Amino acid sequence: MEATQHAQLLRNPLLDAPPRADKTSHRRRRRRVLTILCSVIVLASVVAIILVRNQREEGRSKEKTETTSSFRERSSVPRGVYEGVSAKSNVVSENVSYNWTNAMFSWQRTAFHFQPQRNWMNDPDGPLYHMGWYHLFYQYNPDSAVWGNITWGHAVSRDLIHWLYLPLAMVPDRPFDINGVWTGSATMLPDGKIMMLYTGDTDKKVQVQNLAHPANLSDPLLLDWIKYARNPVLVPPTNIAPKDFRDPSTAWIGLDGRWRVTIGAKINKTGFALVYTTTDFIHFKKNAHHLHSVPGTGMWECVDFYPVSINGSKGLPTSVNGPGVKHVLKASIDDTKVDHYALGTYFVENDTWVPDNPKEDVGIGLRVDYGRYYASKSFYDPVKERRVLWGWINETDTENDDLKKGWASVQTIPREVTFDKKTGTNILQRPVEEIESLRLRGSEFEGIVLKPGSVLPLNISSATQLDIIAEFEIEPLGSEEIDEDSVGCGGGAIDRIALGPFGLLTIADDTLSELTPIFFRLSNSSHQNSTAFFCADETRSSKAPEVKKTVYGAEVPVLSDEKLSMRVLVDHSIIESFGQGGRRVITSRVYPTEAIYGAARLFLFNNATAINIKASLKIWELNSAFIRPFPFDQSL
Amino acid sequence: MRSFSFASVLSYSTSSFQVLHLLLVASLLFRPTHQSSDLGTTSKGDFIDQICRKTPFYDLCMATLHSNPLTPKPDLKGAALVMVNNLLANASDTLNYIEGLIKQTSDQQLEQALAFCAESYIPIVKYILPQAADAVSQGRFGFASYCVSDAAKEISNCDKKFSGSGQNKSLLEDRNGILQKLVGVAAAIMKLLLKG
Repeated sequence: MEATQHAQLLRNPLLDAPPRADKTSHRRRRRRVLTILCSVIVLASVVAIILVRNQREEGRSKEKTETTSSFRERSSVPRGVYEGVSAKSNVVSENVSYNWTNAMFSWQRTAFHFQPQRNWMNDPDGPLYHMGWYHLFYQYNPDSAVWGNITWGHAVSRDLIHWLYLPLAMVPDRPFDINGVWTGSATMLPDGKIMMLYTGDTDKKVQVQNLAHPANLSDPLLLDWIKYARNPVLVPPTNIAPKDFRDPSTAWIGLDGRWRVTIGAKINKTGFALVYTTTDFIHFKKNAHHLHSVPGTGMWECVDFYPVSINGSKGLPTSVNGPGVKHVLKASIDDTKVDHYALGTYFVENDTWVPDNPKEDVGIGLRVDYGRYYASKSFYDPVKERRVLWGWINETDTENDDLKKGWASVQTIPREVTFDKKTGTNILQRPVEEIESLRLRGSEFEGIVLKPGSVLPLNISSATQLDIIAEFEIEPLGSEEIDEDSVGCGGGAIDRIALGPFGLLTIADDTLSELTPIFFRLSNSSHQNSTAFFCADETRSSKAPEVKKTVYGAEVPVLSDEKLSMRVLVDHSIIESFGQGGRRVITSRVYPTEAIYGAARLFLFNNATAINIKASLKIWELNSAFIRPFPFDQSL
Repeated sequence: MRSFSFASVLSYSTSSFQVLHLLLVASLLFRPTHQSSDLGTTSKGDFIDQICRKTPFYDLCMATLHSNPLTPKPDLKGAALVMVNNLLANASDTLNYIEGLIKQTSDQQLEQALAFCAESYIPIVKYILPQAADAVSQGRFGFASYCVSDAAKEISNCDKKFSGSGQNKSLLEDRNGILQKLVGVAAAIMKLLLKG
């Protein structure tokens, strides 16, 4: 396994959802238990809130905390799990919460990442391009900053960066989706029609697939949507449980002219991608073979399946196949809340897919992103001929924090996905080029040499909205080649070895009381093809105790003709870090209390013991994207 | 390749056709403003005069609105439609011109800048202005107004990016400049429409 994850500071025993009860029986008992547990949760929350208030008044009382936390531990379960989706909340055992000010909370809002004005968001849905506008839909709770009452939010943009909010596209108002209009995908038909397949949670809490389409295709904004009157179009097959059947993908067309759709499911602990064929998106036939499955990976959510060109540099429409094409199969793994993918070959004759490397199959190999990231979904942009990828970034602070500040979650900057021709074993992701339209002042730093154990402030005026491109070379101090075993990310940036860590200190204050290092750690100093560890260290990102602070990282191949390089987008409480041209990506969430507004700084650092580093950087301050409601009534 | 298929549909102007185009554009710009009595209908002339006074480029506005017949009853909506369609015609022409320049140049930097401008103009011509015209006809003035400001942004992007040197720069500069003025007039008329 390449990824290293060392959860720091806080125990999170509830992040792994408890094993689901046997669903096929004991429903009535479960409902009673559910009611009791719900009241217990409410009671526990009330107790918790009262206790937190008391703590602030009287000073910390450890005994009370421990009693309450174990009580909460026993009774509360992350949001979403009972409804039959992956856990959507951090339920942290400690009730000690930082004394946040409004200024600190306001600072956390991002400037150029998509997020609604308030409340909860999760999975991106049905991304598409229509008549000059990119559309994004998203799981949205119009009533609260926690998951629930899920509707489809809607926004449009000319350039994937400057978004305008539109009215809700779909709300849960039919028996076939009354308990939630869940995740879905768009299929663009050759004749211009748009078919939207989405999962509905029915009045009986069964996961079904529904069809919707735009009310008016000549409306560039696609404001209104019509749900097919005789939904659902797909119900769980007999061998799949009613809560294990969701997130239909974009369809692709096969040799017989029928459309194929894949839907995630599970049987026991094996994750599945099922295949259904259709001509009209109303009548479906289930394939005898599934697209693929991997034992031990559990439920596959948000399955995504798309071709990449292994020779060219452009994206491919979803139905393309043939020589010179590989297929990416991606699944969001419910049990670990990680997005995994693998490259492989699609056999159109029987709609099956085989990974190039079975040891790195879906769910056990590469991750789409090695940080806080889930429920990603791609679409084909016909204008710029590229494959664009969205990803949902949940908060890593607590539900309480989210309720206080009134919002939760952001989307990544959309990423262009291409095949990595140099390694042949992974995809490359990079932020869409339109992000460059946000660039304001640029600073360039050439050939800065840093000795071991040094930190250098970079003289830029503001450090909370940045686009940083950095290249590093190492200069060994001794004459011998250093070669260590796989070194990982260690305990973070304070963990020194001969060849690392070195990189950037983002969202740091002058005294480095808070900082988020993004860095490399090498295992050997030769110029051969080698690997390095690319890491993001959140352990000292914030003084707030209740925030989840992880060291994220991945081993990344570095070819002999390549310098070490990273691109980092800093946007207040989100940092997206792209290593080696996007060969590995890490998304982090940070909630500093000091390193905010004018106090935030950017540093270069070298904490290795046996090498100097030489760094060259280009740093741009980025403007806000001014994401706001569509100005229907005002002139600009 | 969808992004440039639109361009390939547009025929490339021969040099004489280009001259004709330029003359056409020029004639729209440099026609002397009519006295209201010349039109024969005092009220119409007054109406156009009133509108154009509220735009940043009076002469340009007068020239455009006079040279395009307004629907039987001269009204603000009709004037807006004329402006948007005129904008569209000029933008299409400029896109055509840019495509032509791309074919002719061997300077890589210049070609890159021109390609960027083409990419700014293609959505204007293909989506933004046609949708603005539709929206005006349907009374969706807010949407139309937004589209017009979108078009302004794209034209401005092209203008900023285009830092090539030589005579070509000045030619594109002029065209961009005229378009930006036309957009300014259109935007002002949109504002009037939204005020009701």
